[in-house]
Amino acid sequence: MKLNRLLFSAAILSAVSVQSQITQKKNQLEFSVGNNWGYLKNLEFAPVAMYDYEGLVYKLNYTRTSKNDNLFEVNLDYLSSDLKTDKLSNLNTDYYKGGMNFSYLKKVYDRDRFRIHAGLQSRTSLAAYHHGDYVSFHQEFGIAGRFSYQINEKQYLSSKLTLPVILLRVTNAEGKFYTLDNYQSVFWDLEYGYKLSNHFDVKATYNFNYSRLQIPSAYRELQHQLNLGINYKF
Amino acid sequence: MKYIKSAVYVFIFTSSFLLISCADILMGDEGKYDEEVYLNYKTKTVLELPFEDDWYIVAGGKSLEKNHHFAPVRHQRYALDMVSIINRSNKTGDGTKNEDYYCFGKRLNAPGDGKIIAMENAIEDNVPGVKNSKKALGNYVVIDHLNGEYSFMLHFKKNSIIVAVGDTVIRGQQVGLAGNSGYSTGPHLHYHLQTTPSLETGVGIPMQFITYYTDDVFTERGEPTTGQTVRKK
Repeated sequence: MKLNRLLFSAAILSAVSVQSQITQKKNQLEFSVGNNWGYLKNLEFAPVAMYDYEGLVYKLNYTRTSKNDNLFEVNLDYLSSDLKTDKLSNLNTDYYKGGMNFSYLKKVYDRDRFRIHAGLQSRTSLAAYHHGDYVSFHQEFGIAGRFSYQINEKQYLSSKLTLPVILLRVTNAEGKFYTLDNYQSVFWDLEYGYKLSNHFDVKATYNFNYSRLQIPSAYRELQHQLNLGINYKF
Repeated sequence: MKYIKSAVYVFIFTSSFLLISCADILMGDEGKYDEEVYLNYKTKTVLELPFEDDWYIVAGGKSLEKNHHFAPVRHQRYALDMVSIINRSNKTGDGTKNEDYYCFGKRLNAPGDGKIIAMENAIEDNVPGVKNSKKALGNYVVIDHLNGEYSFMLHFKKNSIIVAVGDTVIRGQQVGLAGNSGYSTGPHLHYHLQTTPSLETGVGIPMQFITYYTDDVFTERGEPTTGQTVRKK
C-alpha cells in the first residue's frame, strides 16, 4: 500500500507540471482508479470507535453538457477493502462499497476563466461488511455546486461540493429517514485536468467524503481518495 | 493573474492538509465506551444461570461468527439464545408443536437480585417456524439490578410470568416459564444485559455467570458461548 501511495503521489505531482483546457465537447466519459484512505465507525456493526481501511477505488463518470452549458453528471464508484483496528483485531473484517450519483447542475456564473454551476444531487450507495452478513443502504439527496477555473489553454481546475440534506438509511436493523438534525455530510472533490488532445484529457482528483449520523448507534465515515483518470470527450 | 494562481494553490494545499490531519476530531469519541466494554467489562450483578438442568447455547459470544446478536442491534450485542436439551437433543417428535421441545414450559428464574420494571404476559406463543415480527420481544421480563445493569428475558410462554412490575426478585426465584412468543421460531430463552432499560440507548454488556458447568467442566465465573452445554451447579 505504501508503494500505491508513492505511485499516485508521483503521478499527480508530475501531471501538475504540464498544461490543458476545459473541453468544448458535449459528452465526457472518464475512467479513473485511485487509492482510498478511510476511517469508519458503525456501532450497529461492531463496538469499534474507529476502523481504518485502505484500498483501491474505481470510478466511471459520465458528463453531458447542454447547449446552455448546464451539466448532467453520472458517477459510479466501487471500493474494496478491509476494516482494521489494532485494539480489537479479532473484529477486523472485509468491506465493500459501491455508489451511484446523479446530479444536474445549472450554470449560474461565467466570467473570464471562472464558472459556477449549482444544482441537485442524488447519491445511492450500498456497503457490505463481513461477507455480506451486514448490509447498509444509503440514499441521499442534496445540493451541489461545481466551480471551474481555466488556468490556461491546456490546464483547468474544477471542484465540486455536495451537501446532502436528506438521508434514507436501511440496514439489517432498521430503515429510517434522517435530516440535517441528525445527519451531516459533505462530499468535496478537486480535479486537475490536462488536455492531451481534442478527445482525451488526463485528470488527477482528490476526494474528501465525510458523513456523520448522530444517533445512539453512531455512524461516521471519512474518506480521502486520490484518483488518476483518463477522460474521453465525444 | 499570478496572484490568483498562487492563492488557488495555497488554498488547495492548506485545505487538503487540514482535512487529512483531522481524522480523530472528525471521527469523534463515540464507541470508545463500547470498546472498553468489549475488552474489560466485569458484570456487577452476581448472575447465575436462570434455569435448571442442561441447556445448550445456540447463540452467544463476542463476534458475528459466534453470535448472530453481535450485529446490528447494539443493546443485545452479547445476548444468549438457549434451549433445554436432554441427551443432546432439544426435542422429541417432529418438532411441529411447541410441546415437542423440551424447552417449552421449563421453569425460568431471575438470574440476579433486582426489581421488575417491565413485563408482558399476554402474547400468543408462535407455531414453530413462524415468527411474530410485530411483537418482537414476546412475553418478557425486565429486571433492574439497581446498579446500572438491566436483564432482559424474552419469549416466555403466554400467561406464565408470575411476577409483576414493582416486585422485588432474588437470584434463583422463579419468574415464569420458557415459551415461543415474539420474534422466535422455536421455544428458547433469549437473555441479555444492557446499561439502560431503553432499547434505543442501552448498550449491551457481557454477562459473566458464577458457578456452573460448561460441558461438564466446572466454571467459577464465565461467559457462555455458542456450542456449549451449560448447567447450574
